[in-house]
Amino acid sequence: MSGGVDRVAFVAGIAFVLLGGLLCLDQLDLIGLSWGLTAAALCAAAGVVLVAAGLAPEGRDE
Amino acid sequence: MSDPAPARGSGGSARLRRDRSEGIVAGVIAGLAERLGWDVRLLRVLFLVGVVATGGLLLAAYALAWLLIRPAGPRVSGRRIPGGRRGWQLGLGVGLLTMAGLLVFRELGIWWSDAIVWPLVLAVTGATLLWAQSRRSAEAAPAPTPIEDRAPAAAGAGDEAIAQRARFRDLYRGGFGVALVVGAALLFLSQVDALGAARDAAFTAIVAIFALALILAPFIWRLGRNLADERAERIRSQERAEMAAHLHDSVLQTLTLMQKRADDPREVASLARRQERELRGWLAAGRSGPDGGGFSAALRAAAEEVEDAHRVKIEVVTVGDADLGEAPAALVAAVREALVNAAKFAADAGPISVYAEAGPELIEAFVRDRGPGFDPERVPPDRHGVRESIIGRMHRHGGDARIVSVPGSGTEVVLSIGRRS
Repeated sequence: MSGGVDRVAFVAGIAFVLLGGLLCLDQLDLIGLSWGLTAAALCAAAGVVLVAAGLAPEGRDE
Repeated sequence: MSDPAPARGSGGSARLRRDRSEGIVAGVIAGLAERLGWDVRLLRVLFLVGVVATGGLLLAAYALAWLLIRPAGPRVSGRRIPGGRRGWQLGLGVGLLTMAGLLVFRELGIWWSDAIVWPLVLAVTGATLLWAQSRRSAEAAPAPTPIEDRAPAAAGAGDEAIAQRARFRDLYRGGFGVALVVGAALLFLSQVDALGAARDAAFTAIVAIFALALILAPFIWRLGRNLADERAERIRSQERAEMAAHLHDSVLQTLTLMQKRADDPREVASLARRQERELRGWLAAGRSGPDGGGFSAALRAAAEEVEDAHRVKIEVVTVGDADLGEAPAALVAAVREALVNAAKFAADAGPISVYAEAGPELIEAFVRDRGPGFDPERVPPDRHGVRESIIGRMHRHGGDARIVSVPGSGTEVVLSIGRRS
């Protein structure tokens, strides 16, 4: 970790912050999230993290 | 989907290839534009419109094209789709993102029908698995090996286990892909209610097959056991035949020779000794394989050579081993000379023994016989065997040689040399 950013952790952090923000907005009734959109957001967050992990440089997580 | 790079518009490419130098994601649109000779930006706009119009189905088509269409020319970015665990992560991630896009389109009402899209997604996933598996199998297929290059025991137990696991994994992946495609077809037929008539017939067939399986199960089970027993018996029979052939070719032939030469005890002893060596080697080969080309093997070979040439019995014991470099080779040559001397002058006084030990720094060898012995100081100056071939050779290679011999009580030659002298 010294001297560089762990890209996978960075992308995962952003994805989950956005997901949490979305759920907060829904709880505050500022937006209306249906089950389909919630599922889409969860899929997108998990998908982004997996893609980032798959494209990470060799030796980062192994 | 990509950067606003100018279109080539040449249409020069004969076959459709992904153009990753112009594309951002995978170069499918750029490659298609080059192939058709269209403006790449126009095609990208059309693609986005198509994605919206088809409720996201074009995204799945894009992912499929990514997998099926080969890239053009050498890789520009240097990045390749990884294999193994990373490949699975990437594939699953792209699949989840596609799923998210489809769900969003469904929520927005830009949607064909659940009866079409979900079976199609399943079918595309299954087909992707099957294509990936097919490509992997083609890449993993080994080149044919010339018969003379094949080692007798090329497929060791470890290799066989790895190959079996790989076959099981391929079967699992292929089976999963087939199940997804079949499931997609059944789901689609069920959604459009086309299975009504076939459902009853299929149910009847399944019940009939189940009943038949119950009836035939004991017979099939017994047949399988019989086949396994027969295979085991065949293997045992082959092993017996191989052992019988070996005994005939070696031991029986030697016994015949020994009967013919019964009047020459030294020849008989030599034949017996040679046969014993061969038999021990054959038995040991099944456990640890033949000797390599190291110090111990060279020492044994030298002893066997002297045994055969002088018809004496030499007992060799070695502890440890070393690569046959210059120093160990000199030691083996000195031991051989000591053995030749012992065979010449102490052949009738019992077996000659050789003990050698290869330590981490030093290699030592002791050659003993129970012959009449001699006084090393009284060896005539014109005899070079002991003076040059043993003592001189060891000194030239940085080692040491000592001869302990008393007339009437045998001789011991003590040799030592550093591994890297």
